[in-house]
Amino acid sequence: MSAATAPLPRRPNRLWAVMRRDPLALLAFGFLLVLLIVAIFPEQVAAFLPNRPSRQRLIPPNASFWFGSDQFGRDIFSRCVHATRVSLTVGLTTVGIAMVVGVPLGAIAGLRSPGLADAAIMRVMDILMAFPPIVLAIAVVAALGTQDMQIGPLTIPHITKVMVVIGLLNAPKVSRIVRAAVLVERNEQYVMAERAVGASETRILFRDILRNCVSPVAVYATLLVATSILTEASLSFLGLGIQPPEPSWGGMLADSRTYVMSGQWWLTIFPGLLIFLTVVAFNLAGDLLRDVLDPAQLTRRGDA
Amino acid sequence: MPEPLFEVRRLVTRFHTEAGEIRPSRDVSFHLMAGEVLGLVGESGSGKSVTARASIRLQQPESATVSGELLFRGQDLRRMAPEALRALRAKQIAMVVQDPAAALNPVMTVGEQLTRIHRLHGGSEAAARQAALTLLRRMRIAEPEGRMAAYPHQLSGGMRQRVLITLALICRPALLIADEPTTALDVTVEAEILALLDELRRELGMAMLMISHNLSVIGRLCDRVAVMYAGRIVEEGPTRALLDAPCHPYTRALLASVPRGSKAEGPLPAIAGDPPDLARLPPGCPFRARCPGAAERCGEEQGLRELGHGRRAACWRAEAA
Repeated sequence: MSAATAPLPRRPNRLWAVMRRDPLALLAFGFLLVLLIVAIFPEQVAAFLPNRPSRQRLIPPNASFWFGSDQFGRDIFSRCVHATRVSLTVGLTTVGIAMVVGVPLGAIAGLRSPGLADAAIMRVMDILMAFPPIVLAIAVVAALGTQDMQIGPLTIPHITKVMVVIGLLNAPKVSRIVRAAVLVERNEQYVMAERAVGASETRILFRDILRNCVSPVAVYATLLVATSILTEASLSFLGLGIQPPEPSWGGMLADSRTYVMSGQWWLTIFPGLLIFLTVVAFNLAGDLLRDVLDPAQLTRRGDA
Repeated sequence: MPEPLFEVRRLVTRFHTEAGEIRPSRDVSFHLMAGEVLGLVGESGSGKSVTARASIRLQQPESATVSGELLFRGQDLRRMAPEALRALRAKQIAMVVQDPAAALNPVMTVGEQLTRIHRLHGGSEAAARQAALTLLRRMRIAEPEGRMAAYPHQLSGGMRQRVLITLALICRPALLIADEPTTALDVTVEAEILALLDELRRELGMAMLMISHNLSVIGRLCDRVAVMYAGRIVEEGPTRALLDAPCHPYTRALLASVPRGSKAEGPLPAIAGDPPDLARLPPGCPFRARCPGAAERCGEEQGLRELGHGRRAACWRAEAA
């Protein structure tokens, strides 16, 4: 049997096939997996409580304080571990919000284009995109304050506000990607072929058009997790995100600013490194996802 | 005369472009009896595909406007509710398009695409699979089970076209629109696919509208031929008679430009001039500017004239031999 006609391995096998060929992506995937486990079980991983001060201040990394201790004698490793949960939650939730808002809006705009609905949706999105995200986030947080919000019987934690803000800021980007993909796909021959066999418009939208948009959207979403984590870190650094003493990577960086020049490098290097590695890992994972989601990719490279 | 299976009356399609309104099909009328094969010939841009698609309400772009009567078993497709029309598709009316690479959904396996049509029209998964496998075997596809699990890009061009034909025939339609089904294939594969298509057509007693710019394909498969030029049918008649003794000067020129023999004697004859710009059609016969026998009278509108023996032509000089 020739390579061109060999049956394609099912999707899990394909994931493995792609990862085996790309050790860097495998590494990134492994790192994200470790982060995920750490984020789910921080108490089991961290030896100390993240917010409890001690007298052992500014101790360099050693056997008991793996990443050293900060100016209040708190264990930096434990704080980093607990901050992982915050960062991943913010990263994933904001992308979830961005998708829930952005995908339907983009799909409607794409299907109705050219038209009033398309124009209305996309102009609003353009306006949102025109704001520098950090500035807009600062404005919103400044207006709403950094305390938990009370609406009737509901208490909305500050972190939730941050997530909603970052999520809504990213929604326009998602809807643009979806709209572009829908515009391309809806004019494809196979969509007409589908119509020719009597498929309804809703069926064509969900089973054909959106299914063909999954790959670009999923890849973009992965990259967006990285951006969201960065935005949260920036907000926390500015004191508008996660409020002290709760640990967050951005907040830890902010707290350690004064020690950069005085030789206590471990205060900044570990949270900084974590932000950097996480963002890189999500970007690599995005590349990996693109290879896995595109059925044509594997055979094109000739190793199916 | 018995009722035709499919009859198109005075079909006009209009595209609205920045250059103004374009009418790729103007006053096109034709009919198909049950089990009959009608060929639609013409050069690129003559409006064959647009006409064929619009005739079963699959016009592209969707913004194009269509007028005329599209009678399938006496019912006008243009007046049908969307659900009723959808119920007709695949089961009664099917279509095979030119480009098999683009007409299959790239992210679905061939099997998924084959079985879902059947299920769309209320069949069970098992029955759908069975029907797909039988038909794939019938299309002489080796190892149909393996092919069902493959994605479209893993198949060769000929294989994809067979899959497309299988898709079209899986619900045993009464009418098949075949829009240049073999243009994307090489000559040997083309001959094989055409033979298969003809065989299956006879078996199912299916009527077929065969669109092609290839006169030898038309000559081999069709009972009758309609020749299109600049959005109009300029000549129509039984295949043999029309190819042997064309009445319209355009048909004559088209037949003369088909290469014959093993060695060309001098340059191939070509039709002088260019096809007219559809956005600015001059009044009268659209072929006038390129016609060797053009006269003053050609400035008048030329309608199709009955010439007897089932032949019609849109030229005042035309007469049946």
